[in-house]
Amino acid sequence: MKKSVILIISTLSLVAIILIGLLFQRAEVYNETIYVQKVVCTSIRIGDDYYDTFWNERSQRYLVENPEEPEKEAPLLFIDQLTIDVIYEIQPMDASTQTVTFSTNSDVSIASIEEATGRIVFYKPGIATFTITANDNNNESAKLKIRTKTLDG
Amino acid sequence: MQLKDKLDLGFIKDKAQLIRKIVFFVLRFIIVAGIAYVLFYVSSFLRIFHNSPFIPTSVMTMLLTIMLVISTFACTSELIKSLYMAEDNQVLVTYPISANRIFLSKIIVFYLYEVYKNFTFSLPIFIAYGMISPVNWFFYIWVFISFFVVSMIPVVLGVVLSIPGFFITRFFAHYQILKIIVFIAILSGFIYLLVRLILLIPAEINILHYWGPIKVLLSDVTNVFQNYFKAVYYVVIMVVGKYDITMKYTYLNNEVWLVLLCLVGILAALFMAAYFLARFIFVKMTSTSFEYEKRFRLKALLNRRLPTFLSFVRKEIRLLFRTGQFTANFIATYISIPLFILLINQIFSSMDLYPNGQFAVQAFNILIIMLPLLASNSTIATIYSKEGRTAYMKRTKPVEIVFPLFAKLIPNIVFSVASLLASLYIFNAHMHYLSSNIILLAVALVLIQVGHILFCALLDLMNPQNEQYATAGEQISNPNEIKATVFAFITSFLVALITLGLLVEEQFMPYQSFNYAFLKILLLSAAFFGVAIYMFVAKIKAYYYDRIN
Repeated sequence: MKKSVILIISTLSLVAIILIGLLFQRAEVYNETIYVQKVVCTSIRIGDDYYDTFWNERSQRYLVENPEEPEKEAPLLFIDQLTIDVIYEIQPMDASTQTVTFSTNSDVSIASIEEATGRIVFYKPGIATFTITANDNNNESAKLKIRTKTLDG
Repeated sequence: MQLKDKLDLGFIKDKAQLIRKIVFFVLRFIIVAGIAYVLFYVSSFLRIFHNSPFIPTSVMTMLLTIMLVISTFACTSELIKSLYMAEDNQVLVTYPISANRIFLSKIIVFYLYEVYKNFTFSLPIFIAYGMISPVNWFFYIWVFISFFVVSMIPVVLGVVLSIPGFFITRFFAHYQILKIIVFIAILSGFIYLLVRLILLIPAEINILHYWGPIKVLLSDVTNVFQNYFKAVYYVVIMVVGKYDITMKYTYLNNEVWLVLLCLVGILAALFMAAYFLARFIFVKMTSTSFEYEKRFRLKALLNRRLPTFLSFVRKEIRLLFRTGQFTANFIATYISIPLFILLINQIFSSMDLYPNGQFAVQAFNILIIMLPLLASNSTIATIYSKEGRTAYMKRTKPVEIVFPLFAKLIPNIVFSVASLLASLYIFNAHMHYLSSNIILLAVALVLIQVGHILFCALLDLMNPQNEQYATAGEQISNPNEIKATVFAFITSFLVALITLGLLVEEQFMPYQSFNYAFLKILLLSAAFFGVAIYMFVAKIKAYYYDRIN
């Protein structure tokens, strides 16, 4: 059988499964709303590298974890325009609305965060705290504190 | 010369054909890039990877790893045949050039073919990635250059792997029984694993509820590729650039140069090491090939007289299993259809559907059973022509011509009907039809399948391509094959639509008793089969007897 025929059949099947699932599945399935109960900041991404975060009970914030010393905070090396992506998870995982909003109350001359994407940019070394808030439940949020410093401290 | 053989470069001399080829190439490039862009855009919009609107490099690492693995396997298998077992080797060594050059030319042909393949598939995907990511203009120049290096990877790995591959192939060539046992064992193991995997599909599928875990799983899978396939990850950053800590791509920095140099160095070292060993085997095989030729053990057999039709069927079965071609087609089609039906029914059975959804699922099942089966019948539209000039021997036999012609179709009819029945059994295991309904449906679909086979054979009888196959080999673009494929699509869609219409008309639900919808489908199929068999016999008469008279 020709590859193109296999490709057509596979695409057709995928489309049909999605269409039948969306059009003919009993509506009760969609009626149940599951609200976000917790927002967890799992890690941050700088370039292609991922850094884990951990929950610090004392400060009630997520901090960037030192890879060599678990549960210890690691400051990030500052360079101009240091850009960081926040990686988070919603609990329960099957929550109906999975979107969040990012914000910060920190000094805007130190760092800013894009409200929709969660992309952080540091302009000068220092400490900044960011908040990830569930869109369906304003009471559920997670705070992430990031400290940056230059090589000479 | 060898490139012409592999890529059919006849179009270069013809200006119109050249323009058509270029237009098709560009169109294909745009379509692949367009589809990839849409997929990347949807992933970005739905924030599939790490809940982020950005596509991480790990996604490209995963895609490139899969593409490289497939290409390496394909190259290895092709190189084993082309380097050590090709029949043209014995002709090529008679030319006034050294065996080394022939050997190198064969590898260069593979490399150029790999470049062509990458430029039509992998490269457009990378271009689409560039369009969705914050790359700068340099990427669009660099990506073309870097793919000349990327294309080397599967070819060099193929040359290396072809050495043990060749010895394994030779070992199995000497022990055919062992080859069959290993093949059946691997195939059975694969099918078993696939079935177990399909049965893992949960009893309740609700895409919205599972959306969160699916996203996490996808992100984790891409990260696995980035962490465990570091070599490919470095190749990806060489192509798309390195995401620096300001989340901008940097090109040709020290790290990329290092990757590029290491890659070229490793490939060169691997190639040189394999080159000396593979060349040695190549030269040995081309100069002393007779040593490896099959030695037939002559055994006297009593000539048993069989009924005429049975003799032809026996001959066809022997011819079929003599080459591995049928086995590949057999697996690709006849085994995969029941597995595919199991997969889609497992998915559908986990959905709670309205009655209209039930009708759609039943009709869709019939479409998915019939479409690949009928599409695979396109090979039937070449079955007589592929005999080349020997086809005329049929006319010399003192028997009714319908015997050899119909006997040629028997293996396909038997295997495809078995596959069809297995698919229907799986379909019914999910639907729980009453036996009378499923029997009527089974007979109807068998009649359509056999009828379609006869129509395809008819296409070949009415417009034979024997001369093309005799001169150009198997690579020709056969118009009958295209017609048969188009006919297969039309027939399958018509069968599915008619079934859907009849099921809706009769408001049939799987658990209900005897239903006239299936009787109507059977009657329509019988009419289709009747027309097919009438035309098959009538055309044989017209093309074989009346023409002679």
